[in-house]
Amino acid sequence: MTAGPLPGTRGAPGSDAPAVKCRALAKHYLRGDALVDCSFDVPAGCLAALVGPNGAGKSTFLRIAAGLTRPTSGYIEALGEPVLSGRTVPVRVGYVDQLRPLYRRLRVDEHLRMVAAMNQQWDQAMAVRLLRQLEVPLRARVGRLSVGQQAKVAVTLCLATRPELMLLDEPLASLDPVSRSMLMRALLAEVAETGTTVVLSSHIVSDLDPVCDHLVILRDGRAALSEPMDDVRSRHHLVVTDRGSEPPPGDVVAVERGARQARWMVRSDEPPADTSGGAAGVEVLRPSLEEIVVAYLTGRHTGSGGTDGDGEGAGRAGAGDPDLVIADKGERA
Amino acid sequence: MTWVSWRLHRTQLLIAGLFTIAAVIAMATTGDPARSLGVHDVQALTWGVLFALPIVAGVSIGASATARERERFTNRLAWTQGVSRTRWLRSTLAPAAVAGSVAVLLVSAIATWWVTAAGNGPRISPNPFDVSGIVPVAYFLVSLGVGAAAGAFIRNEGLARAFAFVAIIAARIVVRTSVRPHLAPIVHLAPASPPLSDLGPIWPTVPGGSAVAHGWLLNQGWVPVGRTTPLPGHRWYSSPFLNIDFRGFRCPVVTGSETGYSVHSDCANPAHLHYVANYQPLNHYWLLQLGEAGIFLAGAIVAIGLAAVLLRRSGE
Repeated sequence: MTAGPLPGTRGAPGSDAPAVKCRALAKHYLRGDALVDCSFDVPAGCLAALVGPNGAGKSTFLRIAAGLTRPTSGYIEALGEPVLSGRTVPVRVGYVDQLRPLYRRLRVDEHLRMVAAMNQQWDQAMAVRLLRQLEVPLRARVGRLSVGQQAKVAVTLCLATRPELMLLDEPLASLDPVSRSMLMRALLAEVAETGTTVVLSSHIVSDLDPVCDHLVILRDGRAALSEPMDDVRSRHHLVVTDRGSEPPPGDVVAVERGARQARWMVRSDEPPADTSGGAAGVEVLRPSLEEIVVAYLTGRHTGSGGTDGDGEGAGRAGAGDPDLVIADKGERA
Repeated sequence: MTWVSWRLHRTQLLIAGLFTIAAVIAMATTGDPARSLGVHDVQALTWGVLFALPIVAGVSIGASATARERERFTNRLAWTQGVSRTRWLRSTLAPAAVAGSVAVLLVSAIATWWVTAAGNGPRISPNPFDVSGIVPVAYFLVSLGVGAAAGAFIRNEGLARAFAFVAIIAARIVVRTSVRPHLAPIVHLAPASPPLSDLGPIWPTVPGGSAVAHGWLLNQGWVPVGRTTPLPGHRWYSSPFLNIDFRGFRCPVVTGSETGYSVHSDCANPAHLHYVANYQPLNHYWLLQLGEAGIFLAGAIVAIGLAAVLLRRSGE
């Protein structure tokens, strides 16, 4: 295994094992590669966001972690045990597919009964309370429910099995804002009590900003970043310089050159010196989460390849090399 | 999990139940030969239901357990719960299989009486055999298994059903024509000078021939003395008048009804032919039933095992 953990991932000896750990994970389909050499950890007990554009491999990764899809190569474990597709079922892992598959002809309460029969752990009282709170009628056939209500049923079925790890694929997609916040609040309230690790995928970063404490960015089937949200915020700096300036110190994630200025997304432990008062002024700004994510998705960096070290960002391919930077929107404008 | 199985296959089981009741009522009303006059349509429909019910019910339940789940992606719900895929398949199929078997057995028990009471020939003859005794249960179970295996492979429920249906029908035709006759020792009868009609001997009038009349006649005709089957390269000849050269002897060609002409003395005896019937007597009925049920039950076990392996290996 050549690929080590990414910068910032916890998992030093002695600490708790990560809830999800994957190394060099790859999945090839006939129509193309869904995952290519994907390696990262999700620490136990966190609420991790898995972000990336459509086709980045988010759903494939979650299906592999849930034991539904067999990876072409690579290694993955959940809750310290290797995930083997189809052979054993990770009992303590809950999964909600992005299609939220339910039996259309079964009523909501029949779904509760069915999932209860298929799990050792089942909290009927919690399921009923949650569905009432989310205003889902228990006696309704699932096929007659709205998309939002079906999502609420699917997430409730998962929560009531009291999993130690929840894998949620786009749980908030195509929900109206009211359902969105209702479901998110209910989920957070349940998870906060139990310390369940949650990995949820989304392409809407603003949903995740206030609630998630770990961020994984997938791009082209690789993990471009995986680290705690606090580190993401404190280690990324938006540096505005003159157009022709040398790159600022630190790893350049992406650069956007305008007519006069260049905006560098830089990753470093300490922010570069802000000399905006001077003649060759360098202004250092605090980027939003969305700006950081977009920088990783538009820049050339795909971090997981080549990191072989101790989690300090060593060997981030091409870091700081201006030749690799392609984000040049400003110049064309 | 029994409830899960019932709930997921409730529609198919209820439809099968309705057909079961309809078949029972139809048999009860047409079973008495005296009253069955003029109800041939009902009889024909009853035959249709008796033939099709085990296969259609089995294929529907089997294919829905695998293909429909994957077609509608509900397997992603079912397979991420706390049971393995193998156990899930077993627990979703087994209760439906038991319930269906009980219904099929009930129908075939009544059919065992009905086929003989309604004058449909001996129950060991092919059509009554197919709907009586225990073989319908084996047909049901093998249909269930092949439906499940086809669904695990094809993923489209309609296609899986059609494929399984065709496969089962083909297997049954092959077994019925080529395997079933040999599941018990074939009995031969070669009566000396039996009275003949155009269609061969009138068996009930032949000494020892009532066993042929009440059994399953496999083949009959003129073969060389000392043999019970035609010579290699020859067919079963039902008439010695075909003017075929048997060991250098040609029967005289007869036109119309000639008095004083005897098939036996003028034709068969000089040609060294005798009339042979190969048949399965009625008392071989349960031997054949057990043998054929065993074949299809083994097929059911193999198919369900294949379905389990296919599901377990499925990695999307």
